[in-house]
Amino acid sequence: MDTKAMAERINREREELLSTAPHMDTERVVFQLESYKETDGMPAELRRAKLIEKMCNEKTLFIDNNPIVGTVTKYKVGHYPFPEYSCRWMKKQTEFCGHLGSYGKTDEDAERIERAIEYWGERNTYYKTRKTVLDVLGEDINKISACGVWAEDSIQAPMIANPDYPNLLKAGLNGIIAEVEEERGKLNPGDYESFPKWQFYNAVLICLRAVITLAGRYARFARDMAENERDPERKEELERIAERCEWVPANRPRTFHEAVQFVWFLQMISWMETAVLTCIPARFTQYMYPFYKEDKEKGIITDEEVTQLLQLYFIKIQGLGEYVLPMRTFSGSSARLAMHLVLGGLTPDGKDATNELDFLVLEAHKRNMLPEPLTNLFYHNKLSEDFLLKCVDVIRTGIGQPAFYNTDVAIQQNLFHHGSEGITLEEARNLTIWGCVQNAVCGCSDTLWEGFFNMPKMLELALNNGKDPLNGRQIGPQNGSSFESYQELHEAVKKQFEHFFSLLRSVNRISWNVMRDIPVPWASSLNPECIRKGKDLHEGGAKYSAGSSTVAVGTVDLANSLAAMKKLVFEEKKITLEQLKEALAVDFKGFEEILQMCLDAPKYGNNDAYTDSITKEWYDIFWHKHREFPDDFLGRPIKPEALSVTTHAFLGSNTGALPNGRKARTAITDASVSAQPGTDTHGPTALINSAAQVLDCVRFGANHFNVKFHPSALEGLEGARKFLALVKTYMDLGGYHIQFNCVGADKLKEAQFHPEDYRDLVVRVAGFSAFFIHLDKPLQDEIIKRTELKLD
Amino acid sequence: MEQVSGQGGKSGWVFNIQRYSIQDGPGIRTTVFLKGCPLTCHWCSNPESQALHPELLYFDTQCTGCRKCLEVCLNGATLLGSDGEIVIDRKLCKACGVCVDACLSDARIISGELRAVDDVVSVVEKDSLFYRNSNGGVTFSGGEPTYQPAFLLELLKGCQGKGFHTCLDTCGYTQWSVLEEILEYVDLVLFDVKHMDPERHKKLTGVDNRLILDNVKQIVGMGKKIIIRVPLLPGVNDSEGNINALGNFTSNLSIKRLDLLPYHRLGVKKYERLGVDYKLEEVPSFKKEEVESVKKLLTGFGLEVDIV
Ligand code: SF4
Ligand code: SF4
Repeated sequence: MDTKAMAERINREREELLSTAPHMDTERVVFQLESYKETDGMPAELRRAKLIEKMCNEKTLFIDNNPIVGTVTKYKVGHYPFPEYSCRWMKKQTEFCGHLGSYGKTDEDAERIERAIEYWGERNTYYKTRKTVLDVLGEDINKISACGVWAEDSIQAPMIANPDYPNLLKAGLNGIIAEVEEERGKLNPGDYESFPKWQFYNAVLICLRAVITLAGRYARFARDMAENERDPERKEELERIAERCEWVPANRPRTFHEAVQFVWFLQMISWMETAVLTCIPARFTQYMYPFYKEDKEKGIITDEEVTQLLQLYFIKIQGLGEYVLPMRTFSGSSARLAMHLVLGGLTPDGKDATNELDFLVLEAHKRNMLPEPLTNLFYHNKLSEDFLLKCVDVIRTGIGQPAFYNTDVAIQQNLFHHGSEGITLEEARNLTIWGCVQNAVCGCSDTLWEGFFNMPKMLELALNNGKDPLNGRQIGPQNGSSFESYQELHEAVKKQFEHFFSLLRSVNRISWNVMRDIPVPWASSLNPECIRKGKDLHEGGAKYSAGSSTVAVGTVDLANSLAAMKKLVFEEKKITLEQLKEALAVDFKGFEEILQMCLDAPKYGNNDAYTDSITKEWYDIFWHKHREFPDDFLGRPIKPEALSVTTHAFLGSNTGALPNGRKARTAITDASVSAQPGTDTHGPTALINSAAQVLDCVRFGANHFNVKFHPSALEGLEGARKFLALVKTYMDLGGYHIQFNCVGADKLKEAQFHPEDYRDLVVRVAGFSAFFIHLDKPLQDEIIKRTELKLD
Repeated sequence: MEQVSGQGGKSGWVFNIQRYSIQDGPGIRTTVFLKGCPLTCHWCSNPESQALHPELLYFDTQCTGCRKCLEVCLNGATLLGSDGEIVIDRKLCKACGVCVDACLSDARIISGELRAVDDVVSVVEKDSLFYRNSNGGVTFSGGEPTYQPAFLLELLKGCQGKGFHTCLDTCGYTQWSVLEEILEYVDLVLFDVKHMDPERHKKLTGVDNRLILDNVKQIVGMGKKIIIRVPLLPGVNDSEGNINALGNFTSNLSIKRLDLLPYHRLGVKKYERLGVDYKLEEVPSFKKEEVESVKKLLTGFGLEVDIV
């Protein structure tokens, strides 16, 4: 097909994706109930493998106009429910949520969900964790989640696939099967140690074979379609599809196109096994390069064709999804699949790893203008100028990507956290991003995460003697209700923090053990270390844990609140503690003067030691507390993290008004070193200086930094260079992650109505820049118009 | 010509320090805006910089009409207008800032603050790594920075002493002897030329342009790097005659670079905030083609022309 016709087809696929309402597909729930009946009494890993086998053998197939075939569910945009992790909430939901919006359920779906809940109601992992915690620790995690101390979904995250792509592509699944059979052959199932391994290998083999069978079903489906096809061009295309599916993923791909199909099969199956973040494309441009190069040398593919194929692959990824807890989609559009694709970085011997595919991925992304896959640049000083300028080119579109990560810091993190496990430098350089902004060693780590922890809630509880003022429940320890000095206040907050931090870590340890009931044989089969050890990911099969220990959210709100209290109550004595508490209790209604004082108090992000030092103090406290138990449930070192994903919206919705001037139940500050919205009034260099100081990105596993930018600051080559100097400086200062959200016209319009949230927004007017909210309306309108034109 | 030296140069009047300034010279810069100016350009985009003393700025778009300012002003400078709107009597206002603290809506700001040299230099120093990575530095602008010569000199010495690249953004209306001493600590001069005709210049800015043009020659003569900056105003200084005169003047001096700054409306609002009349009525904003044709004319003189 010529590239022009293909471009039109891509547009149609993209449009269809964006305009199709997602469906919930309850087919999986039915297979699961049948399969679990059939496998009653078998060990857990076999039951999981048999479920995958059943889905591969029986799931409804279709082939659409995307030449990369296969969909997770029977719909083009469909999501599976996963009742085994938690399900009671499904009953109450009248609407189903996915990252693409909400969608209705049919009566048949409702009835199937009902049956699933009947089965899983007391078998799901969340229920079991809750019950165990209640029995052992005497605390009800539901109650604590409902108060917004932590985000509930932290307590049910399955281990996800982080495939060793280079090896898988080289061997094909047939090669892996041979490897597993050989390992299994060495075992004597009569031996105590060997028996569980033997069982694990059996489960893995079932999965691997089932996936080859599924590819075969797609091949036959395509052949059948080809037979009935009149259009010779389409007929030919379907036959090619069939040939590809007959060959991959069983064997090493023969072309770049086959390699894409191979990788997509792995990803698709992973989203059938577990939900959430699984099977990221990771270092796609590295492991795909040999196939690209071969095809280019043979002259059978052009860069334009590669770009288009990438566009189609990315559309496939964007169509993934899961039927999830409503809180995950709490802040609507920011819900994401987190299918991270990594660019740049280093080769094992420390050279710039960038190749032609890095450029083509950016080009495809720029054309698609879809959020997924998330593109991440592993930045370092050896990157070429033209590649960096290509990145700026994509950032200018306003899509907020690629995000920049500091290669040197990430390598240091790996050496620091996995040094005791003997990590090699080559492994430490093999970086990928997973989850939100965390780094993992590619292809040999698992990725558990513990809880998202609400830092400013600790202050709210301290001010109310351990009682949640939003519902009157006494959930925390009592710390007294009057504070003579700032130090006393500080100690009270620390008391609440230590109590809940320790509690959450204990809860998570229990939860990880409960999760062992739901092993992941398919994801484990993609990990060479699991195969070598004969162990599932949930049993510690992976070589390293890229795990996040407890994750700090809203530290900036806590610091800004403490700074405001320090200044207003203890130093300047402008208001009393009682007055402040009164104002907070009624969300500042009738206390506008106090609100203004709180907003005017020093804020983090202005390169001012007053608040920056408090922010740093709390990150230090957090890190040292983690140090008391630096390990996960398997005794492997894991990292404390500071990031928010979208939990800042959920946690904020259960947090009252704060002394930093934030209103009750609104989102708390996003990321970990971003500024409270509208308070970083000294520009990006000041913000960057603050951000680089408050958190040691090597000791922490990650930090998370979103910066608002008007595209006018990136105009021309000059603008791009100055922007890149900004990025380089943040990296030189030891920052880890930075992401630029170009402020589009819609945001500027919002700023006209809510200037208070955009006090920090600087736009370039002509030969100079100015605060947007200080411009008069006609000029604001002019800039909005200009912005709209640029982004088109 | 009145020039002011505050406190032996140890401190002076500053109305803004802008970090991440990317249009005032090469690289990422910090621009220090000094208050006070001998000129009164009709179109000045920073009218709050013209007077040396602090002034009250009032943002009516942010004002909620709560009248708190009215209660606290002890000088009777904030009043109610005939329609109940807030009016400021500029003659009575002492810019004491009491109303700024009382205002809950950020509708009032005092422009102008007495700051010590060390204090300013310490702010400039905060972004030193950004300068290094972008070949940036510090720019002194205004107002007219040479209006506080002793203060400016100390600031320049302080910044050069730290190794920073220094830029002076000046209108050039300063005695050469004063300028010469200052220039010793300046790496690059951004020199504003508003009009080539002495009469027109006087009408528009309040002063003759002879001293200004002479100073350009002197600067070139001493071998300093210089960029001519021209605020381009439709119907005011964009005539072919003026542009040709400008082209001749600069190219005869072998000056290489000239920046055009097309007029923008931003200033209008600022005049209202200050309670000052805006004299340049209803000038339309430039069209892109018009600026491009001026640029073309000037490139004809062998100049490198940038539109900022
Ligand atoms: S600055 Fe002082 S004198 Fe001027 S209006 Fe405000 S309170 Fe009155
Ligand atoms: S105090 Fe502020 S908001 Fe209230 S009337 Fe005065 S200027 Fe307006």
